[in-house]
Amino acid sequence: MDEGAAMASVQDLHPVRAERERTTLLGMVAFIASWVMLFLGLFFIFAMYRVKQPAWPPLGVDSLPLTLPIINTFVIGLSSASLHWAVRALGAGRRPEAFRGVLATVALGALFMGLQLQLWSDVWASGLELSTNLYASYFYALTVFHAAHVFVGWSLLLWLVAMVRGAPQVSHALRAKLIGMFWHFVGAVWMALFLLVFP
Amino acid sequence: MSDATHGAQSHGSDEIYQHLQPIHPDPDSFIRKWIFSTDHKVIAKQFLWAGFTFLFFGGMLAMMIRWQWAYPGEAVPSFLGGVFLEDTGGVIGPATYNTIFTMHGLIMIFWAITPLMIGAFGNLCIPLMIGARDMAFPTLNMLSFWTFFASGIMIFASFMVELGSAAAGWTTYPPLSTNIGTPGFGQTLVVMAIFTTGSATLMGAVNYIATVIRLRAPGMGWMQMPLTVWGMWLTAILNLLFVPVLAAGAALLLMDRSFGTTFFIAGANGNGDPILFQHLFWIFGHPEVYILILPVWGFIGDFIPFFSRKPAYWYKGSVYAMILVTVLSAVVYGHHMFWTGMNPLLGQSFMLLTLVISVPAEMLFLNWLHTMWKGSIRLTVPMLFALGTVFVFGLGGLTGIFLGTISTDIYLHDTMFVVGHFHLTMAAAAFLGTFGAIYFWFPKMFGKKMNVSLGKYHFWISVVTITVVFCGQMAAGYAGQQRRLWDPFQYTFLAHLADLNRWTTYFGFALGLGQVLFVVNWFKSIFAGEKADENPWELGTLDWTHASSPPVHHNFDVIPRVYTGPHEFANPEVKRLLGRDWLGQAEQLPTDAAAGTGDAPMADSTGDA
Repeated sequence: MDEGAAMASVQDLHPVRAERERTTLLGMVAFIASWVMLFLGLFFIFAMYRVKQPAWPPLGVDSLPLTLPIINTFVIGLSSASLHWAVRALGAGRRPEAFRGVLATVALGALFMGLQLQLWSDVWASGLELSTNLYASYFYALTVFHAAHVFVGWSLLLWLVAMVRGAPQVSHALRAKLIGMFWHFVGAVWMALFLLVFP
Repeated sequence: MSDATHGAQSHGSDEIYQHLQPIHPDPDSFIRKWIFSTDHKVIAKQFLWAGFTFLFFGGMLAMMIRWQWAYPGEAVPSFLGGVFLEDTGGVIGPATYNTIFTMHGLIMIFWAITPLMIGAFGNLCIPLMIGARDMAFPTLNMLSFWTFFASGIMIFASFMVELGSAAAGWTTYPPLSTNIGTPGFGQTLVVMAIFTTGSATLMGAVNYIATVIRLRAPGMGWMQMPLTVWGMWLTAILNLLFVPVLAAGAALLLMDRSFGTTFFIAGANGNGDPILFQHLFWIFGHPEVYILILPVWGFIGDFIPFFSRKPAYWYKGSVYAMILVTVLSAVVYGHHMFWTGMNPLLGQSFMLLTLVISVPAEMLFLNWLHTMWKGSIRLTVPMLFALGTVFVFGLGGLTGIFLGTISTDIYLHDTMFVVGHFHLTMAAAAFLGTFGAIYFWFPKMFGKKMNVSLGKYHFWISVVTITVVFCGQMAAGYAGQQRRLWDPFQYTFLAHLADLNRWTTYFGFALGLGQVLFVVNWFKSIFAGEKADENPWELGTLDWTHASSPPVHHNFDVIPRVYTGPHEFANPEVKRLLGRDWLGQAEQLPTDAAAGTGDAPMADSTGDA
């Protein structure tokens, strides 16, 4: 049923609008491609460094905690799912459902950032500060850099909440889709980061 | 493939193209029209003026380097010594010298060539040549320029801070670029400026890519695009994918400089690895040299058929060659690091891939030569610059073979030979090609003609001096002179090269002085130039056939439908029916009965091949 409703809504659009939306989506894909390269650059450096080390973590250094990052992986995965659901609902014109979905995503995003803050303060308190050693430096650099993108995406989500709350406009579905693309990208980066940094 | 996307559509669907890009009213306030403008033509001019400013600045730094190699330790004459080196009475000290050559390189690459070639002509040409009313994302385009502007301010500011601007070389290798080698805020500011201008480039790249894919006029397939547009599009793809890699390195370097980490610092001060930066730098850096040459290949790929009055020889081959170079450029970066040390098998792979690039490069060269063969060559100023570009790029390309080959690179690495080589390709070719573009599109940009004699003098002085300067550098390098030496002649084995260097410097100064001709011509033409008509070069691309000079705010009153390729020359049938040797891309031949019905006649004879 969802599927059919979404299809119908796309067809209802004026062909001109549909063409323009394709252009905008292409622009977003290009932007995300460049962000992918940015993170690939960082991961490449990290991997090159890590494989050359005789021991990782270095001798005498405790491994990073795993519990919080694992929880966070589920949190950000769930948030992607809820946003996906919300964007689809908005595209089909079911605004109350979309509102609930975006709100859930905002809450999950806030939880992710909160847990991330908790993780940093735990690690810092355990004696691994930013410049203690490169094990810590890479951890902070990669996670902080990622968290900055999460924060940008989360701010966009707040904007989306206001949009879904306000009077309906045709442009909303597209904006929701764009914000969704960014948020999924940020989630995907976390998955890669989690697999690279924590184990 | 082109026909499947656009050509097969019927005329009825052209309507949508007019609605897709509606005509907006002209901006009426001064600020919206000239400062925070979203018009691609105004943004192109903004990039042009900004680029000229930095070209002058970077050029002055080059003159100071040349002075130092001719007269080491002597006071620099003129305002350069009197104002900028007041503390030392005009003498360039070793630390100042490091700043000068570092900033010369960075300014020329990121703040002069990039805005002039890609910022100005990418913006100007892409919409006009593909028949679009503006870029796909005009606001992003405006943001791109102002982000670039901010980075330029940071560059000027870096000279004002304590200990001066960056001094670690344009490659910014750590540990020299960390606080150990270059303390002070200047280097930090410059790394931040690179990061900032990188974001500006990205915004431009997103725009160029989306515009070319989505906003081509009806009927313009990929293989009907002018080669200039191909060059800009491939450049945009390289920028999009590889500038972020530099940004990743810059971000970690900034952390090393400002937050006490040691990602790139080894030894007593940390357990990081400086070599890792080299990898990131050259993963970006090698595509970057093609970023700086692909637009020029596009320019001359168009100028040569335009002024030989012949269709481009094997147009598709040129396109495939450019695509192949774009792909290969991403997998050869290791040849910058032969001396850094790497697994011999890996080194040989990089060597092989590097040398393979000469195959597509040869394809381009042969196509250019074949296009000229038996053509009715018109030696206009843009054509002269195009031929000059072919010449200097040929020299640069041939000498590159010795640097891509490990056994010769071992000897030549880090000598003036490298400096001469990359200046011939990146600097001389980009310089001559971009000036060709300036002379070529000046009538379109300003609606005036440039002075031809001044242009020709400017060309001959530039091409002769620029060739001698960089060949002089290669000769010095072959004789063993390392690059970046403050006073090369204090070493006895290089002392005999003083005369060679001094003569090279004289030609360098002549090159600098010769640019006065251009400046005079530029201002004279803008203010008192003869009025140019819509199509002064008699060409068939949309920028000349369907846009006034200068174009109106929305470029095209009606977005034209394209029928043929960009280089439709010397067709006897066209000559018979229209009485001229060129056919517009959006033009159909009238039938013999002059009825001009339907779209049948020219659709098949698209002379790509």
